[in-house]
Amino acid sequence: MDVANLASQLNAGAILPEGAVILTLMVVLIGELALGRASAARWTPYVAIAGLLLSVGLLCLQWDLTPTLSFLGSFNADKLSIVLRSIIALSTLVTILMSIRYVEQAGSSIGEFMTILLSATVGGMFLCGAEELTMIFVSLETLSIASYLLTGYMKRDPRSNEAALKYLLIGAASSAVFLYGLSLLYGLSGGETHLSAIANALAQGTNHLGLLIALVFVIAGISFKIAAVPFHQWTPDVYEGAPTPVVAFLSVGSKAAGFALAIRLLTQAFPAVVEQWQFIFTALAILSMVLGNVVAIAQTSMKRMLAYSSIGQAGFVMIGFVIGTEAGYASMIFYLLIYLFMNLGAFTCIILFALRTGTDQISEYAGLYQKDPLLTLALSLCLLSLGGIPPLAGFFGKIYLFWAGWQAGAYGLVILGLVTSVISIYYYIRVVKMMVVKEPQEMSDVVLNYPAINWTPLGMRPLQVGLFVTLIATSIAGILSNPLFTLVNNAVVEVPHLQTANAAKTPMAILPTTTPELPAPLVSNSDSTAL
Amino acid sequence: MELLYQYAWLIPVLPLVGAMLVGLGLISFNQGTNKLRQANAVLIVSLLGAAMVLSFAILWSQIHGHAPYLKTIEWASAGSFHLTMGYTIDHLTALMLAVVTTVAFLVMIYTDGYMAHDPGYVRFYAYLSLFSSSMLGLVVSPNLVQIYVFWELVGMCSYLLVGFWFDRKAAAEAAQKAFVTNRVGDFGLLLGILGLFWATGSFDFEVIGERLQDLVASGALSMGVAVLLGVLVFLGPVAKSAQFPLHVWLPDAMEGPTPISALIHAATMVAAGVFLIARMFPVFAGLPVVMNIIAWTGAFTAFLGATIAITQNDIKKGLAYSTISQLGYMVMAMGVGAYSAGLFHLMTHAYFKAMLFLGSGSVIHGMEAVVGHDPALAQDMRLMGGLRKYMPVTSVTFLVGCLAISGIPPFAGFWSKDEILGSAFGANPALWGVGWLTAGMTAFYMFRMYFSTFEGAFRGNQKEIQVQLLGEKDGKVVGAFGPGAMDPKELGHGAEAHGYHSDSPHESPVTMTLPLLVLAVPSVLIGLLGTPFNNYFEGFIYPPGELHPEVMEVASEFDWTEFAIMAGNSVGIALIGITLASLMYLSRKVDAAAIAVRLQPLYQLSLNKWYFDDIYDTVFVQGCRRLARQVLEVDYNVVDGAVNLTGFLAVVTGEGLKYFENGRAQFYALIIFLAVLGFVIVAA
Repeated sequence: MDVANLASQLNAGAILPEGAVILTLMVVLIGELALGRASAARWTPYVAIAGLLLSVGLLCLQWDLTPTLSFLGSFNADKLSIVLRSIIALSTLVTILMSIRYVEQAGSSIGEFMTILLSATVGGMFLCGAEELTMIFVSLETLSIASYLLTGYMKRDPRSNEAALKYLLIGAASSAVFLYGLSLLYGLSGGETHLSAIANALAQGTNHLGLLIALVFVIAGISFKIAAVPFHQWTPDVYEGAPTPVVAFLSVGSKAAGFALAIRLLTQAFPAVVEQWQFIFTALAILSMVLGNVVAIAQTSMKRMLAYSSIGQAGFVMIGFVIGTEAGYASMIFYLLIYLFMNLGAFTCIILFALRTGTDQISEYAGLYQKDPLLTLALSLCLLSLGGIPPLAGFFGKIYLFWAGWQAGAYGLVILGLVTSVISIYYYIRVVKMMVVKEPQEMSDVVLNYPAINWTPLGMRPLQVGLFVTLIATSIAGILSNPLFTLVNNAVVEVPHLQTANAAKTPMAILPTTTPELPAPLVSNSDSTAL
Repeated sequence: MELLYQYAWLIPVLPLVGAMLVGLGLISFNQGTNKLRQANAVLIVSLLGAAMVLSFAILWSQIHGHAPYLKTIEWASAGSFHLTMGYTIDHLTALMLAVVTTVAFLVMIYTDGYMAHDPGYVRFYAYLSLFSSSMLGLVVSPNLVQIYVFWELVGMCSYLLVGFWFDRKAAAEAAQKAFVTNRVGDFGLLLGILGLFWATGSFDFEVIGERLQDLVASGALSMGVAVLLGVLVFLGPVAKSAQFPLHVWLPDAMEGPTPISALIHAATMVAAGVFLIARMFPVFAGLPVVMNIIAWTGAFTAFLGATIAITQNDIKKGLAYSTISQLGYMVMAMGVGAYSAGLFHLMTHAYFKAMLFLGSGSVIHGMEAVVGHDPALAQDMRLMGGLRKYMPVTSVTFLVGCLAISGIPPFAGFWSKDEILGSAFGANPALWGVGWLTAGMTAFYMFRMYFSTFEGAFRGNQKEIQVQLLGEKDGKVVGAFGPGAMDPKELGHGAEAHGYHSDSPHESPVTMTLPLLVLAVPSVLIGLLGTPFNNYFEGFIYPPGELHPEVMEVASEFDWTEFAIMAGNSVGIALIGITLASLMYLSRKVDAAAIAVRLQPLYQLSLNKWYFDDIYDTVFVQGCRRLARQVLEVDYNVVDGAVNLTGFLAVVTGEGLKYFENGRAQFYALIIFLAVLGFVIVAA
């Protein structure tokens, strides 16, 4: 059997986007070895960006193909996976834009950084489509191990080392739990490794307690990845110590991969215990929203604040997940997409500020408006969007999430979400106020000695590009949310097992008859017709 | 031809591009952009010129019977709820496009002369262009939502332009007043739009009209609610077209530069209310109560405006009240169902009132050379007189405008006003009576204005009148605003420092007189399009429900005797008004002051604008302040307390929970295992 024949039988075309990333990774790795570190800094990031763009382009091309299983059912390239893989690839792309200057200034090798980051990306992308236990575990570990390496990338910084070690230890513990869960699944299903086959086998099984233990173990592994409370404790320490671009990637790309895993694994393998996993995730969502948002108030470091805020944000996303309706999944993916831009935008801004001043204490941002209006504008918009202030993108993301939740009858969760997002507005606005309102004499020392704005050093241009891209996306993605929402709706509609999860619930489309208190984009009427 | 329609969206977009370019230039390279004064003006004027050419091409094609064109894109949809945006081209739109672009184009040319020495020259052009774009967007809107968007945009531009000289306290306050008053109406409009959508599920004019009829007929919706919704929507036009009781902002809005008064507050934006009534005609036509309210509001406003205009001494304020009065005519026409008569008057009025305002600007420009830049002096007619000698072009065009607005045949105003009065008579003779009386007053105050400005001897150099006027103004300013108001003497000093150019006013530059001359042409001739015996206009603009042949049939049943009686009546009273004005202000055979003394209460009522400003001040402004103070007390003591408590609790919890993060990895791992265990127990 020749290679081409084998490839077509395995349906290898489905993983072309990942292939592009792997190829890029090889080019970067070998190129750096061959041409030396000094020159590598100048071209490797751009090669990596080109590779990721190519990958996203290939993903777009796959959109209209009929979804097929490839690699003997291990990998599913349906629209859901395409959207999620794009989110991960895009998050890496923006991360690279912001990391070039950072790594360069820290004096580390850029080529290696790119290589590890791309490995993590490959792991994350494979995870989005994985439908087989081994495949899931291998991709998850690829992502995890690459993340540990990235966390410890600042070799000379003890905090980075500490963070990496902690991350590794806790990560290993949770991986062990997760793997135990997978092995239980394998045993309970009588030796099946494909998710759908496992579900079929479990449907006849009687060992309910065993199944529950497997479920909880699996959820523990997933929760570790998405940093849901109480599996979140590594987050603040790791976020504080790790290089900031890595934190950006962990809080967006890695989290998106975790959610992808959750959607696929839980809805496909555990239809028998839907009630239970929805219950557990409800608990996780409540804890995450409350703890993430409340503890964020008390933080003084920008990175730590964003770390806790990302826990809270994950809690919001989980609302879409636990209600189990089509609209819930759609709004969840929509929020991930929006979150990608606003959170990475905020990280770009704090990297820029850290590069110019060397600090990330919130109090040091005082009076920044006087010295750097562009940075102030970008950071303010991103933070306000994270807080869900209209008309920014985050507002629409939250509206869709809460709306889907309300329709599915999860009133308590939605109200809690509203209350905690009000709390979150407090700590986001505090930073904005710090930057904008302060009088010149209240300026912090670092802002007083703010360096002249200079975009010429190596890596500053990409940073600027990243800043503008995320800023524009954050500003207009909400107003022009219709195409994006259609996209995620399509992605969800065509995945069969998402419908079976909770078929009785109503889809997003039907809105109540009289809702004058809702914002304009959603106000509707059941008997309305096209204008 | 299709191509023309496909690119019709360019008409509002072109001025927007101009405004954006210049606006961005002003933001990024302020000094550089400000230096390129004329270059910016040329850019903006030529973009609008292009829009004007397109508009005329569209009007031409519509006249030749091209079918209406509608293009929409879906802007937002959630389930069965669809919000579309786009543009529609029908007869009404084509007409409005042509009127708006021509007036805007001429006003922009005029601005070059009028604002030549103003430091805000470039900014002014940017605003003008933005306004034109919004106004054009308004007239092409295919549904209520889009209308509302542009409605607010023109309101915002009006706010910006009224407050253009924001360092003058009066201008800043006038801008606020205009904004707040319009908010009242706009809120009603918004409620009306949402209510109609709730009732009918549509934002489309004709669909709303049809469904509302069905709902009322089937009893699903009570007549009372339908009327309420209609009145709410009508509140929008009431504010925007300065109808009683929300008319108070328009006279104050004259603090803006004169080109603005001509473009926004005479020809286009204030007519948007009438335009909206025309668009909503399918809805209103089915609600006779609403139609009556509209008609009587219009009639009363026409009368109110005219009575106040009689005693105004500020030339622009006089014209402002005249605008209110004429808008009242249009609204009345709409109310009695005379759809095309109302729109016909809208068009003729747009041209002749724009010309009158531009003429008054030209007069002010000339007067400023003598009395300086204090508006209290330069705009007061008691200081003018005899300007015909110095400003021949302005005076001739102003006279044409006066004849047109007074309804003297064959000038434009005669035909349109006569058509309205005729329709009003058919609907309700009382309405006709009010309109007829108002026509006489209109002729009187317009010629009072003309005679005291252009005839007689020039009084601009009489220092005692100046001192008296300044004294009046000082007294007023202190009384109205209290201490802290800007000292008007500062302005006087400023003017003194520049030195007066001469003892006699001069004719304005050609950029200002040319638009006047151009506007004089339609002011004379355009009325001939709508003569009752050969009504081309009505053949083109007719209510949405009616078919073209029906309209023509009605139009052909023309009765010369009836026309002669109606026209004779209105011309007669206009001539009486003119004669009276000439006796009082030209030959001075009748002493105006003596009459004022004899009719003291009436005179004071008119001079003080029926005391509306004072009543509103006591009831709404002071009442609001009192209420606000009380609410503040409650807020301070009760609400703040609750909020502070919540915040305090959240912070304390946050500080407390922080200590669960102790940085020890084994503790974290322990928590993970405990959590797993806990979940297993709970789930099982």
